[in-house]
Amino acid sequence: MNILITGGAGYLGTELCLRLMQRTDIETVTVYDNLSRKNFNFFLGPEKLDSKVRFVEAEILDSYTLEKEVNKADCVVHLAAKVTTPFADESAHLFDQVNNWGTAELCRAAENSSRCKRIIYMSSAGVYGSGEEAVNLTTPPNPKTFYGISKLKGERHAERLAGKKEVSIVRCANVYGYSKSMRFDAVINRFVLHARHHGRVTINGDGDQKRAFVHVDRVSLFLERLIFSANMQPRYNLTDADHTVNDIAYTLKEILPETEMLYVDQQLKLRQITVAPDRNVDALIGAKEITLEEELREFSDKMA
Amino acid sequence: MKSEDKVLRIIAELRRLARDEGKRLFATSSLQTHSIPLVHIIARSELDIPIYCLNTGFLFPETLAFKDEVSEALGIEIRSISSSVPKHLQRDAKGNFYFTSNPDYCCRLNKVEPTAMLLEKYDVWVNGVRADQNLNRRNMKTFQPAGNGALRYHPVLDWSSKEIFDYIKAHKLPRHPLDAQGYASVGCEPCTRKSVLEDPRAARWFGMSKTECGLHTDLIEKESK
Ligand code: SF4
Repeated sequence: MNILITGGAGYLGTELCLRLMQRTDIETVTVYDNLSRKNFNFFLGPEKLDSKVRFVEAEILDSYTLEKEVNKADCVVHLAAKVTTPFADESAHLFDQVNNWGTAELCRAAENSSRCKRIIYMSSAGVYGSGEEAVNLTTPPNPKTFYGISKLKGERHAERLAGKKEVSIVRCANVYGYSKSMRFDAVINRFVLHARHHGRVTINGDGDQKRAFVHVDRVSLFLERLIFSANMQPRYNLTDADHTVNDIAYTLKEILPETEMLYVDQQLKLRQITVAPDRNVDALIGAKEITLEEELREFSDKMA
Repeated sequence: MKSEDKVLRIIAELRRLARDEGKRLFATSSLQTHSIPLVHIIARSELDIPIYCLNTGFLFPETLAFKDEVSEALGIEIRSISSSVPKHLQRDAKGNFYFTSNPDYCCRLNKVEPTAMLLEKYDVWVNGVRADQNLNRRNMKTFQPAGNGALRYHPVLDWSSKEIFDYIKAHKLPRHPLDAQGYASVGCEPCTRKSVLEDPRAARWFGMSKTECGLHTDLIEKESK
C-alpha cells in the first residue's frame, strides 16, 4: 500500500510518517510538503527515515505535482493546511487559498485517480466555533475564525467525494506533546517550554477558557489505524480531554514549582470550546489512560 | 412557436450538423439549473456530442455534485476540463489568486483557454446562451463564427426564462442544490453571491461592470453579422 501524506513534514505528519514507515504492509510513504514552516527537523533526529519514505517538496496548490503524487497513492492523508494560532484571523484569503481551494485541488486529483481509494481529511474542532456546551458530531458547525471557516469549506470538498471514495473527516482538537517537529504556537507546548526555560508562562485573559486537547501520539496512532480500518466512519471528533488554560498552568507548577504565571488582559473572558469524547475514536485507539500530570512530566523530562 | 416544436427543430439542426454535414460537435454547460434543458435536448438527440463542464477549480462542491446528479439522471457523460496552469501559478504579485485583483485574467486562464483548446478539436460549439441574459448576449446570433474556423451554435438563444423553466418542469429535470438557498446564478464560488436586485446575473462579479467571463466575448468573431 502506498500512502501520501500532504503536509507530511509537519507536526502530525512527522509522527505519522515515523509510525507508517515501520509497517511491513506499507510500500511507500510519500511526504508531500512545501516546508513553509521551515520544518527541517523532519529530516533530523535519531530515528533515520526509512528508504520507503519519499519526500516531495511541493505546495498543495501545485496541481500538476499533486496530481502525479495522488495517482501513485492508495490512500491520502490530507494534513496540509495554513494554520496560525491563537489568532487564526490573519488573512481570510490566504486561509481560503490553502485550506479551501487546496483541498479542492486534492479532491479533484483524487476523484480522477482510479488508484486512490481512501481520503482522510484532517479538519479541526475549530469548525464548531465556540460555546458553553460540549460539542459532539451532531452539533452544527459555526466557525468563528477565518481558519475555522476555511477548514469547514475544505470538509465540503471531501464530503463531495463520499459516494466515490472512502472519505473520513477528522475534527481534531488542539494537539500537544513532544515531537521533533512540535509547534510552539500550541498552548501546552509553549507552556512546557516557557516553564522549563523562562520559569514563567504567559496567560491571555483570565485563564478559565476551556479548550479540547489531544496528544500527538494518539493522533498519529489514530491516523495509522484509520488508514487500515475496515470500519472507517465518515466523521470523527478526535479529542482526549478538555482543560482550562489555568488547569494546564497549575499542573505544570506541580511539576516545576518555580513556575510563575503572568496574566495579560486578565479581565477578559476568552472564547472556549469543549468537545465530547467520540466513542468511535475510543474504538480505534482505546480510552486514554495517562493523566495530564503524568503526561506533562514525561514531556518536560524529554526537553533539553 | 410551441416549445416542443422548438426542441424538435434544435434536434433536427444538431442531426443535420453532425450527420449530414459530418461536423464534430461539442457542448459546454455551466451546470446551473437553467442550463440543464439544453443538456437534456442534446441527450434526446441521441448524437454523440460530448458535454464539457469547465472545472475552474473554484466551483462550489455543490456544482460538481450536481454534475454527477445530472449525468446520472440523464444517462449521459459530462466531462471535465481544466486549465493546464496549476493553481500555484495563478497568483498575482501579492500572492493572492487572480480573482482578487484581475478576474478577467483568472477567467481567461480557467475558462477561455481550456475552451479555446476544445475549439481546436471540434467544428461546432453548442452552448446555451440566451438573448435575455445581458446586453452582450442580446446581440448574438444563433450561428456565429467562434474564430479559428469553428462555429458557435446557440440553440436556445431566443428562449425566455419562462420557457426554460417550463421545460425543466415538464421533464422533471434536476435542480442545482444552491437554487433553494437563494442563488439565482451560480458560477465560481469566489465570484458568486446570493441573488441581488431583480437581475440574477448581478449575483456574479457583484459590484463590477464585468458581466461575462470571456467565453462569450473573446471566443467569438466580433465583426460577424
Ligand atoms: S469566475 Fe471568478 S474564480 Fe471563476 S474563473 Fe472567473 S474570476 Fe476566476
